[in-house]
This record gives sequence, structure tokens and C-alpha cells, in this order.
Amino acid sequence: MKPLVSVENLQVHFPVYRGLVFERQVGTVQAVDGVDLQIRRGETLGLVGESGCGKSTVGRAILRLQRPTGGRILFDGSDLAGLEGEAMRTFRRRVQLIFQDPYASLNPRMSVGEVLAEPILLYGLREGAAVGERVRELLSLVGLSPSHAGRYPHEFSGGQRQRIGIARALACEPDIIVCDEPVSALDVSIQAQIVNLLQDLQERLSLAYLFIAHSLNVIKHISSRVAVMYLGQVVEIGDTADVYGAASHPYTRALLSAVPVPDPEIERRRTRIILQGDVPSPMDPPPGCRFASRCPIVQDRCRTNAPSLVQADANTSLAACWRTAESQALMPDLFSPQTGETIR
Amino acid sequence: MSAILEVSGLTVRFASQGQTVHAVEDVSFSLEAGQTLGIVGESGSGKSVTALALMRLVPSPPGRIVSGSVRFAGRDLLALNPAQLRKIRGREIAMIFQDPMSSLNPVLTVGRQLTEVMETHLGLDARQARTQAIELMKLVGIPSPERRLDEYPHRFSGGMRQRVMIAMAVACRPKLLIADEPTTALDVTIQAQILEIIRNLQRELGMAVIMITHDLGVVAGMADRICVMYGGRVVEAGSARDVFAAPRMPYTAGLLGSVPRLDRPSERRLVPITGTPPDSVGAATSCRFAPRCGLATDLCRSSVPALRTVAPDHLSACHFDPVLVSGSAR
Ligand SMILES: Nc1ncnc2c1ncn2[C@@H]1O[C@H](COP(=O)(O)OP(=O)(O)O)[C@@H](O)[C@H]1O
Ligand SMILES: Nc1ncnc2c1ncn2[C@@H]1O[C@H](COP(=O)(O)OP(=O)(O)O)[C@@H](O)[C@H]1O
Ligand SMILES: [Mg+2]
Ligand SMILES: [Mg+2]
Repeated sequence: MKPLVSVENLQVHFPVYRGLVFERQVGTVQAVDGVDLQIRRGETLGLVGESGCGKSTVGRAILRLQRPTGGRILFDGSDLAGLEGEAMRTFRRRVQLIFQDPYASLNPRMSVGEVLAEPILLYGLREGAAVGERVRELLSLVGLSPSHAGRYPHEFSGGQRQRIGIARALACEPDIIVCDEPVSALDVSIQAQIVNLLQDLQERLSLAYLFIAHSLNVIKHISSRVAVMYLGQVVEIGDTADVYGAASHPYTRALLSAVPVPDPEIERRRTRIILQGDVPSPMDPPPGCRFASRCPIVQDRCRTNAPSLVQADANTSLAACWRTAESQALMPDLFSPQTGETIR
Repeated sequence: MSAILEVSGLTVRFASQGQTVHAVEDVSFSLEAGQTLGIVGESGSGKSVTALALMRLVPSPPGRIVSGSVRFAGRDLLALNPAQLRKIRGREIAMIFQDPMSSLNPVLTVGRQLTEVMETHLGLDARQARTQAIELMKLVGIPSPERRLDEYPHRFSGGMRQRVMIAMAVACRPKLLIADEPTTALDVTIQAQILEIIRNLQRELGMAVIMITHDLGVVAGMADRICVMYGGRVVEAGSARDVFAAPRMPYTAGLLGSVPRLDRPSERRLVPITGTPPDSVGAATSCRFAPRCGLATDLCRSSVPALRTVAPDHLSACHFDPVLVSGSAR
């Protein structure tokens, strides 16, 4: 079956200008540079990586909020670049977005009922009394009381506002929701409520999610497949169990080893990979493998030749690394207590 | 070993829109030299206000330290005059925050800010201070320190700024470092670097650390002892090992159940705590966690549970010991 979303060699470069009177282009931010990924109907693809690696830009390109400078994106088989008129309208309805701060996107002068009714009317999904009924249904679907339809956004807590954001997305009856850091700003106990809600809704409505987050444990929990990004590129992609259980890319391993786990025994004696330095600038990414400047197992060829995504064997994810086999040996077991050595 | 810090009955309130916010209520803990205490809790639970109160930095008005004592190396900080306090702040007790930019001066070079600390507190001359500053920058892993000393804070990445903050904080070899969410704004690989620096410095300088965070993983990795805060109170305290292995307060257990685990196979569903955290407005007349607690009874809704010993060196503020309750239910 054809995937719902197919991202092919996506490139999004931003020109950077300087100068007070005569602006001139001084460089290019390679925010996304050659990303391939697919999202299937009803699945959750997790997109993880450190800030600035291009996650949101991929999401925005899929929403057609950001024009690619290269490559293409197919939604349900059609190229986004060619969408017009009614097809465009339908696309806008079928692909929705929820983000980190729902408050910023909620009109403070509109009641929650009005917020939810707006897309229903815009897309002509219900008429007359059915609109109000649908609003109440949406509220209870996201765990809010239907009697809250008359309240305004400021009367809700952070977790409740995220529920309103989700309800507004659902009002459009989408096929996929791009969730851009939807729980990052929430307290731990509230995060779990929202994660559970998103999982329940997926099951009931067979929604697909592109779930963007920098939190590796939330991504692990919610995703069926995971893509790990570094400096504008996907460095590893595969089934969640493979990526987390036997990561093939040294960057994925470093990320996983850096996440503290709530168990003092493991923390005291686990192996850590402490990466040196900061992520290089996306305006001037290194030639060859972009991770080479921080990689603990870098070799000469890595600095000159960029590896492409390959699968070592049928049971592993795809990884863009020249030394996939060795990277697994680098840190055989991520979480069982060991000697507490540090790899740099 | 004797305690370097002993906090007892600390209570801080804010006057806010005609209401009283009971931000910190009857908080007690102690900390030995060289030890790390983790203070963990969700937003608004009173962690930062506790830290500010220790240094007497609570903005007043609207805030007020209502009662309590803070004994640091034998002196009660709450009884010192401003001049005495200034000598201790920054020199014997140093603090770092989530947002280093808020404490760095944007119009002074990083070097100037570092040397100033040492000139004021240690009486070094400009030359000595500069040499020291370079050493400190090396200590916290800032590459090419000689060059970077002459740069302004905005030229530093978030992780590098936090290193600068740490360098400033440890410049006078403090006995106590208070770190309030020092890595919350940072990416996870940068967080790992910063936590390693704090661990190493602590070992080298023998300083005590109070690590404040909402991240259970961070406290598990850093703390010898833990205080869990909820609604302005310490609701559970003990060794990190005991609190994580056998939490006794339902809130702590609930928090641990809410986080997806990297180190375990994925559960199909998380077990969240229902409801929302309290706002600490008004005096508590019940357990603040009762509205969200699956074990709550009328007693919980009508009286505040005291923090009491439930096992050797393990305290919990619950009317019922959940370990006993679930044991007898079985
Ligand atoms: N409109 C824009 N103009 C210039 N640069 C941008 C723009 N949007 C994003 N970027 C840059 O592109 C890179 C990727 O950004 P983003 O996709 O937001 O990353 P992430 O979501 O992973 O944190 C960053 O370096 C960011 O600064
Ligand atoms: N300057 C202030 N004015 C009024 N209330 C405050 C002020 N600072 C903190 N509070 C309140 O005190 C409580 C504890 O806050 P804080 O210690 O910052 O929480 P935490 O650090 O655990 O997130 C909160 O209810 C907060 O709203
Ligand atoms: Mg983003
Ligand atoms: Mg705080």
C-alpha cells in the first residue's frame, strides 16, 4: 500500500542576509538537507534529535507551511507542490498540526466552543445544530467537559490547553497530525495524560502522527518507527525496537547514553558516551559525515565521504555510518549496570 | 559527619492579588559536606523559592520568609546582616540557574565578569585574576580560553554559557553550590557534558551540591539524598536509592509511573497522575495531593499529614504508609 506521506530527498535551505543598507546573502542555513522518510496510515513516526537539527522544518514542509528548495513530498500519492484549489483545501483539512504552546495559537477572544466550531464550518463538516453537538463530542473526546465550551483559553491549565489544541486538530477530521513537541512544556504527570490521550485517539480514529520531540523516552513510548536527525539529515531510521534496542549509528547511541534514567543503580554504573563540543553550524556543515567532528569512532574517510542510509541486516534499522557494525560493539549494552566507563 | 547546611521549618509566602501563596511550607533538610541533595518536583512546587530563601534572595515584597532557620557552617543565614550575607553569597555559597543569560552581563566580556568575582571576593589583582580565569575556563572545558575570555556572552552557545556560569560559581571554591535546573534548557548531549563537569568539580573541590530539577533521571544520576516537593512541602525524603527503589509517598510513586522508561521494554500505557498540580494558594487544610491520590480517605481531605519516618532514614508525608496499605489489601 502506498504510504500516506512520502518525503523524498527533501531539502530546505534558508538564505542568510547581512548588511544594513544593501543586504546581501552571506550564506545558507542547510536546515534540512536530503531527508527521505515515509509515514504510513495509522502509524506514529517519531522524529527525534537535538534542537536546530531540522525537525520542525521537516514538519512544516509536510504541512506545506514551508516550501522545499529541493526534493518533493507526496501526500496520498500527490505532489504537494502541485496542489491547487479544492485539492489544496482538502489537503489543508487532512493534515493538522499541534504544537508545544497551544496558547500562542488560540485566539484569546474566542471561546473554546467557537475555536472548535471554526474549522467545522470552514470545511462544511457539519451544519446547524450538528455543529454544537460535534463541538461537545470533540470536548469529551479529549477529556474535557462539554460544559466548558463557553470558557476562554486563559481559564484552562497548560495540559487542558493542549487538549483544546488536539480537539481543534480533530475537528478537521484529519488523516495525520504533525505533533511538534506537544508535551515538552508540560509537567511530567500531565505529559503522561496527553501521551495516553494521543494513543487512545490514534486507536479510535486510526490517525497517523508525525511525532516530533527532543525527548527520547517519550518518542520511544509513542512511536512505531523512529527517525533520528542530526544537522539537517536523518542518520538512523527504523522500527522503534531496533533503534532503541540495537542502535546502529554512534550518534543514536550517544543520545541514548546521555538520557538519565530514574534508577540510581543504573546511573552510577552505566557506560556513558560524552560527546565533545557543540553541534557544528548548519551554515557551514562539515563535508563528509556531518557527525564526524563529534564522533567517538571517527575515521579518516568519515571526514571526506558522506555515508548514505544502509541496512546492515534484516533485523536492524537503516543507518548512515561507515562503521555500523563497530558502532554496535562500541557500547554493547546501554542500560545494564556495568563498570561506569566513559567513552569520548 | 556534621551537616554543612541545616534547614529547619523554612516557610515562605507571597502576597499575590489579595491572596497568600504558601510557596514553601515547613521545609526541613540537611546536607553534609561534599554531598549532593536532589530537590525534585513539578513546576510551582516550591523548589526555586526554597533555593532563593537559602540565600535570602526571595523578592520582598511580595515574598516573605515567615519562619525557619538556615544554618550554614554554624551560622544562621536568616539572622545575618546584609554585609555579612554578601560575604557568604558567591563566595561560600554559589548558585547557577537554568538561564545563564539572566545572570551574565551582556555588555561585559566573559573574562571581565569572571575576574571581577575573584577580585571582589578573593582580593586578587587583575593579572592573577586573569590567570585564574583561564584555569577556570579550562576546568569547565571551554576550548581556547585565552581568546574566549575577551568575547561577550552572546557569542557563546547555551552549553558554553552554562560552563561560564559554573566557572564563575566555583571561582571562589564555594562550600555549597546550588544548581537550579542547570540543564533544563540544554540538549541531552550537552546536559551530559554539564552534569559531568558538576560531578568532577564536586569531587575535586569537595563542595556540597543542591541539584534542583524536575527530571527524575537527573536526580537519580546526581543525588545522594532526595527531597520530593509537592505544593510547597517536602513530601518524601531519603537516600536516592531508597526513594527510587521503594517510594513511600503516593505522589512519588505516581511520578515514577508517569515517565516512559528508556531502560525497560515499553509499557503499552503510562499510568499518569490524574488532575493538575496545586497552586499553593491559601493555607493547606488537607494533604495537597489528596485530590489526585487514589488512596485518599476523609482523613487526607481534612488534615495535613506530617513528614514522618517510615523506614530508617526515610521520611514520607502521608497519613497512610502506602507500602503497608497495599500490603494489607493483598
Ligand atoms: N525561517 C528560517 N530562516 C532561517 N533559518 C531558519 C528558519 N527556520 C529554521 N531555521 C534554522 O534551521 C535549522 C533547523 O531549525 P528547526 O527545524 O526549527 O530545528 P528543530 O525543530 O530540530 O529544533 C536551525 O538552524 C534554525 O535556526
Ligand atoms: N515573585 C513571586 N510572586 C508571587 N508568587 C511567586 C513568586 N515566585 C514564586 N511564586 C509562587 O511560589 C510557588 C513556588 O514557586 P517556585 O519555587 O518557583 O516553583 P518551582 O521552582 O518548584 O517550579 C508557585 O506557586 C509560584 O507561583
Ligand atoms: Mg522544533
Ligand atoms: Mg523553579
